[in-house]
Amino acid sequence: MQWLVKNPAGKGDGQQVQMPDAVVPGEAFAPKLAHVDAQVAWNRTLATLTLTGPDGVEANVRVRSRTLAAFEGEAATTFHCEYVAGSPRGVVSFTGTIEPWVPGQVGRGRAEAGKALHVRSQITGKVLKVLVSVGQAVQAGDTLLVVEAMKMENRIFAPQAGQIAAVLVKEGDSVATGKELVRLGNA
Amino acid sequence: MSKNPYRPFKRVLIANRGEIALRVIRTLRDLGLESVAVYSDADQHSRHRYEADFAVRLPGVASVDTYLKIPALVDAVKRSGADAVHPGYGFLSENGGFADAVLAAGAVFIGPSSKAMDVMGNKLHARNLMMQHGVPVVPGAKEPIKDPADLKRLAAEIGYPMIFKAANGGGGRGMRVVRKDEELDDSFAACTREAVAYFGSRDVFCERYVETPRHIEFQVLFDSFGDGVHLFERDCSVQRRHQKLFEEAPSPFLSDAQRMKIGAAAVAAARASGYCGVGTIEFICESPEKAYFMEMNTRIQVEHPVTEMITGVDLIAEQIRVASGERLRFKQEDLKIRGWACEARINAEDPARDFAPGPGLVSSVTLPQGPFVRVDTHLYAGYTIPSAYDSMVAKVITWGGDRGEACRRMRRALAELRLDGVPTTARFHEALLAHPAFQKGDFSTRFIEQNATYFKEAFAGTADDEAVATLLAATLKVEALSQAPVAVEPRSLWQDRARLDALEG
Repeated sequence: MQWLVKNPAGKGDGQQVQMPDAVVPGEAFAPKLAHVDAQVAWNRTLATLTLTGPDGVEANVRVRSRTLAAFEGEAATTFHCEYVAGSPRGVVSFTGTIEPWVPGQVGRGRAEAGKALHVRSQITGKVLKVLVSVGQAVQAGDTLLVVEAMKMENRIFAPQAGQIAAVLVKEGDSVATGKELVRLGNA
Repeated sequence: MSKNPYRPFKRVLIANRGEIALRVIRTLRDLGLESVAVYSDADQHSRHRYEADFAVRLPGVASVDTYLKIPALVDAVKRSGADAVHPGYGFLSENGGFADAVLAAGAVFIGPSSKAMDVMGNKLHARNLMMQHGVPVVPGAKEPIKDPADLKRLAAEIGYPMIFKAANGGGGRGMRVVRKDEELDDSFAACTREAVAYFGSRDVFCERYVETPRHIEFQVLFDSFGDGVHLFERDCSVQRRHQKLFEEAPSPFLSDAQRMKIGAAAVAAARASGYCGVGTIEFICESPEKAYFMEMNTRIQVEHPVTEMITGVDLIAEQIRVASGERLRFKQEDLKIRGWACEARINAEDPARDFAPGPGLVSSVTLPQGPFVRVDTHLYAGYTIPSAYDSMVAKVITWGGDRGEACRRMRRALAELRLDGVPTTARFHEALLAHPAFQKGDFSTRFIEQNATYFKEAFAGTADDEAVATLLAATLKVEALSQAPVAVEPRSLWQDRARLDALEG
């Protein structure tokens, strides 16, 4: 299957990679990555990706932590990965999205006309305050809600400008990670 | 003053949770003593419950119903037959009422007397006690401000910037910084309102405000005979919103002469309050010559391991020994600083999202190992970090012959750490350790604030090898999709947990 990986902060935004449909731990496979052909193997237990070069030398990329957030009805998976690689070995982090590649598609569709954006809770906690109501126009970065978790108040910001299409929680509600809090429509 | 009865212990109850409960259990085992854990319903799968010799359930989830509920803890002491109680840090560790309740139940409280706690609990009392004993304090008023008409005169004496503080305040609340005459009346009124609302007393005093201080604290240890030593200092200047993140010992800020001078002041300060046990005297330092007493913490601190690493002293063991009535086993001249140690607090928080906490299932854990690395943690693969308590889940501590070596080992250790399922502050520490000013030892409590842009850029996606990052993203996505278990694959931890929950109904 062909995947499209986007890293807004990175240099080569919108990389395509052809992967087998399943990865068998320890077994090498040959993904097609842009113009690079590499022989790789994934060790699930040690979370290490081994890249084998033409000279037979193996380079190890070890994952320190990863977070994948995928939600029903959304093709893109939000992705955060920290890995150790290079010499001297340092930790590199990578935040972006990955989605099935569709011919002609350039990237993740943002605020297309008529399309709503789901604002989700990124933490498990309790809704302390709801600061917006349906129909209200908001700017990117405005505080929408306050969710309390681990003795702290966490503000949930608007990822982009728009109009509040729906408020799906009320003050006092307990919310799990990934719960949709507010739906944001076009202004 | 109520004195702890002198007798050795058999069984010690730990009125705490998480890594500190485990830390205490380990020392108890080293000393040949039995341990009793207490656990809330949210902690039924926690490691301290299973690591202890005995455990007592505290029904409920919220702290107020469990680890802060004195009657429930006293009941656990009686039922388990514990003859001493270790309070850890946080929760009831600085609560005089709890110390008295433990004594009334016939057990020993491993900590100072409630009287010593109360003396140190009021900022103005503590401040005046220190002045009487020749310990330097920030220039300021000796008494609560009675008449707002005095404000201008006080401001002229002390100079700007100045800070109003509620005498009974704490935790960073009930404080107001003033920079000019026009702000005096409003700030004083606001601070008085907060003092009444949060701390039940209208007493407000003022002192000079130190703009970019170092936070340097001295570890002290006293026995019940009035003998005491200090175990040098820790530098805890790396803070975010008054929360410490990275600590080291000794401080790169002090010379040996300054260290011994402030250390002697710390011992005098603790002696003045009739102290017994381990404690920490916090100083704010304007310059190495200008160190002022700030407050005393009457408990073991989160960052105590860095002191253990440079002195070779198990502070919890000594704390238990002096509580049981033993005399101190060493004198000041027996203590020497050996090398350098630093500690990185690993919190389940995402530095890239304003340190938002991320409790949840930890699907896999690999802890750093190797030369001169210590990790204190209650994490295990399959553990769910509850959202009801603190977000600190591990402390990584490294030692080196000098500061540079300790910090390089810390970078190595952080790169070895692996934690899947929750965000961590490891990235913050890596960015901190890479900062040139930090490497030179040039930082204050405002370091994070002053370098906000630097940290923001460090937390953003920084993959410099786009090909590797892309390959990893695709591999992990495909792996996540192929849920079908492979024959050799061990059963999923999710299934284990579901089965466990079903069994326990």
